[in-house]
Amino acid sequence: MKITKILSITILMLLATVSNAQGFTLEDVGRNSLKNAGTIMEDNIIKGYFYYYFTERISRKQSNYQIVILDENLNETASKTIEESNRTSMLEASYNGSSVLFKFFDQKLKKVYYRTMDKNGNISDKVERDANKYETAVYASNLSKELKNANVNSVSEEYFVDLYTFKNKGYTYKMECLDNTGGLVWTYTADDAKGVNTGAYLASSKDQILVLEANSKNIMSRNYVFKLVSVNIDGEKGWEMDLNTSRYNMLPHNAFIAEDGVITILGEYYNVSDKSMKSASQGIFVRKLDRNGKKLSDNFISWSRDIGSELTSKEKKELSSYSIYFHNVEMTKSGDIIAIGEQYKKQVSAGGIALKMLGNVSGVISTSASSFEIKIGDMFIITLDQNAELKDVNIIEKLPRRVNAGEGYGLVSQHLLAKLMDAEGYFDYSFTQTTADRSLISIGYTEKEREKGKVFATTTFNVVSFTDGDSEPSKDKIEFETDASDMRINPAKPGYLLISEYYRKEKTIELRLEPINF
Amino acid sequence: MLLSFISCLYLYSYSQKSEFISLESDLNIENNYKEFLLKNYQESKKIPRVDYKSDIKDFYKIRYTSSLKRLENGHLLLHRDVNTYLNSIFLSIAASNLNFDFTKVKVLMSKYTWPNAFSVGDGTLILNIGLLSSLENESQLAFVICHEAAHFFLDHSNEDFIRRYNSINSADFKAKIKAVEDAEYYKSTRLKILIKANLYSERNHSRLHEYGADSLGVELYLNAGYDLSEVISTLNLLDKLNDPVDINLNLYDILNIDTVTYSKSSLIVQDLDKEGVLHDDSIKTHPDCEQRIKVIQAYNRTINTSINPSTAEFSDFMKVLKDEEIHCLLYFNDVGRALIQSLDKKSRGDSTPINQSAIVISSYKILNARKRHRISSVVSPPSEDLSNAEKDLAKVSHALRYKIFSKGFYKLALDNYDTSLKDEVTLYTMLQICFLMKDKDTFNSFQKEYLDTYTQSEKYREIKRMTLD
Repeated sequence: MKITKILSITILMLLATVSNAQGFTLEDVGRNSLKNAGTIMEDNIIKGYFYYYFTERISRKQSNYQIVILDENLNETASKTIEESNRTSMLEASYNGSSVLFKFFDQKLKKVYYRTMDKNGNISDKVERDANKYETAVYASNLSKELKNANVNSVSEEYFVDLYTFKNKGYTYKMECLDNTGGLVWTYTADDAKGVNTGAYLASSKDQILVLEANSKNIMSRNYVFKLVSVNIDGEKGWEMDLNTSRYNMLPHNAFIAEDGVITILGEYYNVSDKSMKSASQGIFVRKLDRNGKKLSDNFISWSRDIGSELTSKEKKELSSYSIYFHNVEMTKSGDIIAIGEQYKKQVSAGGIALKMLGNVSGVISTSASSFEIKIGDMFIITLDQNAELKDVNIIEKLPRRVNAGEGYGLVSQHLLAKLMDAEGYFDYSFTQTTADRSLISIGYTEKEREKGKVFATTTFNVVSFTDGDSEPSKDKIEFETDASDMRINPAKPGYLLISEYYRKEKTIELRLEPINF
Repeated sequence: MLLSFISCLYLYSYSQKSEFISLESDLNIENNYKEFLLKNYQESKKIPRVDYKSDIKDFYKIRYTSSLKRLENGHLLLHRDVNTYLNSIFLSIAASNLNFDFTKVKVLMSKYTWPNAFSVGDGTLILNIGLLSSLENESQLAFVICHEAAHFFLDHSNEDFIRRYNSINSADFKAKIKAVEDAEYYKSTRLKILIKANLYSERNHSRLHEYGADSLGVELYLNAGYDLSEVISTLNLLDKLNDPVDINLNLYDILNIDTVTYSKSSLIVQDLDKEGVLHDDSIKTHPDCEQRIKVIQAYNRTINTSINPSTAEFSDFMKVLKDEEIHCLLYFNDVGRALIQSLDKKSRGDSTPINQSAIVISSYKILNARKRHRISSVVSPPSEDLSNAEKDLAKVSHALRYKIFSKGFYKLALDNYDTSLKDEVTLYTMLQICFLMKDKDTFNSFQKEYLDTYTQSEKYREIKRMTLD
């Protein structure tokens, strides 16, 4: 019987991925052969998926790995074997319209590798650099998590950029530009002052790359000052702009560069005296700049003054009893601005107090239960028109959910707590997805529902879609009804969802694309 | 272990039962077949003593239970008229080939919609509806039966098992496996090489068997007085069966919608030399039809045939099959193809109530699947392998806005309902579709009709509870 076992295993290994008429099946998943998987992005749009498998050991230090690439329609477009060290993981993949760039990390040697795959499926030799201490810590801690494109982005069809933080005098960042072979073209090093200066890619055009800089005094500080930096396509710093006025500090969520070069920045604003990571925002801002960073206009839409006055008394009550945590701000094809928020509030947890009391009575000094919890309420979606005037407020009701805040979290501010909860993925919001022309914006979130007479609430996945030309958004609901051991819903190409079903017994993951109904 | 050997015989049990009416099974045929299977199984157990006796007994047992399961799952078409016709051909072949024991053979038709026929090895010859509905005349049907009967008389199924058994139990193979097991490095690569070699050898035997079955099959066929040229026409037909059939159907006009485009992949990476995939001709189970035709053409036995290949019975048989095939497509959840075939029949002037019902039921199943985010399970996503009509349906189902899509399919169901079967299944379907579309007035009228008419139905309470208020 041993032979048969080997045979069956081999057949599975030989055909580790199987295309089928309906989607794609990943086989032999239960044997930990799948090391990493993620999306291949271009301009924030999913263009494909990568799967990185361990295949076999080929020497004491080296192993063979398989890279399988699926396109956005789940067709297998490439399958390549590469030799790598046993401690190598694939971190990210990005697509620039002509090549896919893979970023690897070797935990043992503490090195970052880049390799690219050209249009014929040929993989370039690796280009390596040392990973700094900060990167090593961040990458190592994120390996087991779902991989998201955080640092590598495409810039035109010829280049990619990778942003990473390093420590010199203080913490600052570098942006490296890589060509279609993974080779280094230039490095931009941000100002190295005392304190912390981190950078995040915001948007790019054919002549410039916009980076959002966040400056704080030290790594523990929650008082950030944001700055917009333009780096030209040769790696030289172009212009920079402080994101504040005499009254407000701005925190951008998104930036768009139009064909005429006009830059639109969207986000939330705070009172200048507030600390943005600690306080609740005052409203939404829209700032427009020309290609040289010259300010064209500013609009500030306040929650209380502008939005509150347009709400019904019920909506106002909703707004006043909760805070709103904004996940994203997007612009539609017609220039409307959609701010996607979710209600939350910190409150005393009856259960947590009871557990604490029980702990005291039984002589236990402390329990891990917190006396505070976050109550997560409805989705709160605000639409502004092209002139940044309030156009619509959509409160999408969902069953409130309580999340234990954890011991010690009671001391932090309500807003910082929400930020921490967001980082841990405790909100119901899942993703926002837009088409390239922004004619469709879909917002995905999970929801607990309790049917009448039932003790347990069921979870559903919901998508609210804003379609160009429609006066009202539409709502779609996906039930988690499946025979599989586990079912996940992830974003896919615009207008679609990627549904993954894991069959434990068969050790397979079945992937399929399903259109969002809107 | 044995399961893997006969996996090719054991056909899927994933099918979902369609409520759409089908040709009724004849209980006598069913019972006769059960007796036939049992008798053959009991005889097969009386095998001579050999080293692998227990393994081969297990093999026969699994084969027997698989055949029973196929029957019990309702995968066989046991309608009296269909079987009478098939048997008439079969008996005429048997009567002309008395030196072969045809009493150990049974020809049956399956509901499987893919173009195939197979000899199970226990004497059962299964002809899939997906193959039979494509045949052009009775002689072609006779050749398919003769070819599969030849597989049985040449004992290919048992021979395959024994050869595989001997192969994997051979000292040579065991040594190779051990070498792979003991290897510290390149284990997967070594195993791939071994498996590929094994697979190529297996498939080579399989192809040789096909030539053998062709050879004996042609003998049986000619003995029965059929024309050799129809063997060649059958093989030519088989060669084209997997090509997409172009149906001239303007789905956009039927649904009254604009043309839909499906975004093609913008990821230009195309690895033309994908690793790990066996895309070699050496793994084909059947030789190319072109090669088989060349061998048949070299056959130098001519007979004067008096058999007319195009009989009226064959035409009637095909008519029944065409209706039944749509039912089978629905049965195996291939709803997209069922809709295309029923719309195609309608466009050719077939507006029979049963065809109209097929349109209503397919429309509902597609609409419901899209609503429930299960469209991939009933309509394949757009791909180059589909026919033009299938491609259009794929684009409409996968890429059209739900708002427009649902209206189009709702209208299609409504338009075809009036002339459809006036039965519970079709009414129930219409009721569900109106509920899905939240069309309160139409739903209420169908609900009333259902509750007034089907008072004894097991769905009565379910329907009564439904409300759009």
